Amino acid sequence: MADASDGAPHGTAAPLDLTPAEMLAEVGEFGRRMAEGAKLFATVRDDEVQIATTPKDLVWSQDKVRLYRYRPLAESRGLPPVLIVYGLIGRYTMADLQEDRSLVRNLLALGLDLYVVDWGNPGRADRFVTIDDYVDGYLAECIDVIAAATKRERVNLLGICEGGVFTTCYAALYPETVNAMVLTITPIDFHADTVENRAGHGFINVWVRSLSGEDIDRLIAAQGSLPGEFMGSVFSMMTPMRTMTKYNLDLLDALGDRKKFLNFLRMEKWIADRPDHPGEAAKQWLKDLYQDNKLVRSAFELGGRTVDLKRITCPVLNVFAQDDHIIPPATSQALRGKIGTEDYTELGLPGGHVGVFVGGKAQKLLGTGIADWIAARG
Amino acid sequence: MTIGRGSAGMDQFDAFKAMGEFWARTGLAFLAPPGLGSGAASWGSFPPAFDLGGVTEAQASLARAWASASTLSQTLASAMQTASVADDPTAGAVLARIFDPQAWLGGTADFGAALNRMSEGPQFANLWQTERRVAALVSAFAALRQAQSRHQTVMLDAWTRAAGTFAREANARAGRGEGYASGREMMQHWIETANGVLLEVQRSDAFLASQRDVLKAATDLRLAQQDVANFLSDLYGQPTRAELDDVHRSLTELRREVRALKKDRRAAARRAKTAAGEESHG
Repeated sequence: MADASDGAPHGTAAPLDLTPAEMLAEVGEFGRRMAEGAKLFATVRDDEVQIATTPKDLVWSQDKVRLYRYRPLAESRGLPPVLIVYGLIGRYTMADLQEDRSLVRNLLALGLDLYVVDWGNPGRADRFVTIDDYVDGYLAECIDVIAAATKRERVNLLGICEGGVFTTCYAALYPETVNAMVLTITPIDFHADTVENRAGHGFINVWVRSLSGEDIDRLIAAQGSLPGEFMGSVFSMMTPMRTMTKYNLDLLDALGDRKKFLNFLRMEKWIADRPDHPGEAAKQWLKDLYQDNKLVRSAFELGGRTVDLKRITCPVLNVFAQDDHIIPPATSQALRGKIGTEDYTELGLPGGHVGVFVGGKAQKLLGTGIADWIAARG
Repeated sequence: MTIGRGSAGMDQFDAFKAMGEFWARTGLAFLAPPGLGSGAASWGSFPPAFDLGGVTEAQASLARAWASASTLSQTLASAMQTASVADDPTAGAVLARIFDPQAWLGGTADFGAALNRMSEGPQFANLWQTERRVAALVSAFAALRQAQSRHQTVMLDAWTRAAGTFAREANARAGRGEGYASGREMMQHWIETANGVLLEVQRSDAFLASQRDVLKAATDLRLAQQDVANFLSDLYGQPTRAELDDVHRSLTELRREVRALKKDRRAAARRAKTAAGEESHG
């Protein structure tokens, strides 16, 4: 254990080189920002921090699951429809955070026919819902509904994170119904965090492997779910000091600029909206995938069938974030060579797990990258 | 101003101590006992403030009274049998019942006990069962506190390491005649130093093991709470968690079956349509 006295004073200059006048000015600046912040808080209206505002219509629902179709924002390019599939950790609203930072709007503006599935807010009553239900049940139903509504035999899938795992499983189980699949920040090899072993990257992988299967079973037995708040804590641990400073230093920085401040609030709104993950599905996610790494080995079973990656025959675009600390790039890139098609493309974008969707530069590249790739496979 | 104990001006270590506490709280907040939800009770409100000593004393009093009554009953019955009905076993049995204090407490033993359970809820025997569960709960609570203390030790060790590194670097800067241009810059240096150490610590075996222990202890506590809740729910005729889980499991399975049936029906309709099309073209 290190002793703080190791760093006992020995220099002559003052580390904090401020005169009393400068110190006073710094304190004054702090006070000014706080006052401005208080004014900002007072003037912010609810409708200014609304997220996921792109107009859409409910086209189908079952249990807690809702399927929406976005209203077009541009002339249709006549391509097969695209279904956006988010996971159960966090919500799809991240893809439509605000008007100028919205993958949904970008894709609509490029003439795509867009659908999104909302898994709702699973509660304790949904403890026994499995990934089988989500993939072989709800997702399959959504695709059936879209195919019928658009009179298409195949649709395009756009999976995000855990949702990408769902679409990967679906494409392996029902290859005849998928035209093309876009995966974004999707883990395939859950042990590939060790490839780069970057500091602060892949903590969830390390953490889940430090638990036993029984630990997870008992956690789910006790909670009935993987609580969203709990996962929020795990995410916070991945950026420990950032978590500690974001409601003081970061917020203070944002207070100087109304636009920045509203962006901060919208992001916080999305982060706070973290549903509980149904218990049995969480056990599959943590044990079968994070611990036993069954997906990349084509050993994951759903509905009594094995998810064989080689059965994925549609074209695949695999998008990863180059600085993703939650899903390290190597965990996504592991898909290369594992599927039954040569039409496989990787797109590495600057930014982190969320930044790739909401970061100024990356989100534009993401929208056009996806739309152009799909158009070429329409 | 230099970084270190006993330096002139503001004692930087006061600020560091505060940060250390803040840091430790992050570990604590990782799992807010006794539950994980936002509505979870705080440490201060647990264990529930009821008078266990009072219940124990009440039970001890009853036990003493029961022992006295039983002894008296047996003595009386025995004396009567000896004195007047020694040759009549039926009369002896009747007398024994007459002097059975239990009859005064609620009728016949079997029916009375069942009736009591149905109408009055817990009996003292049940209360002991409750107490055993509460004891397990308190024990689980203590285990969680222990696990958290061990985890805090790991975190505080890391914090001390980060603080030492920061102090060394800050003083090295001072030695070179370089200062921080602002308090914010100094803070930024601390944040980066601490972040680096924390990220490293989080991958250490000590951290992962102690955090796993906290998770396990928090889970055990939650399960012990549910055991008490289930016992009391059952006692008072309320649905238990296990019964609700059964219902939810059945509901999920039924939904699954309905989905499969609908899917089969749609597929059959499609096949029929295709076949009809082929016939009309054939």
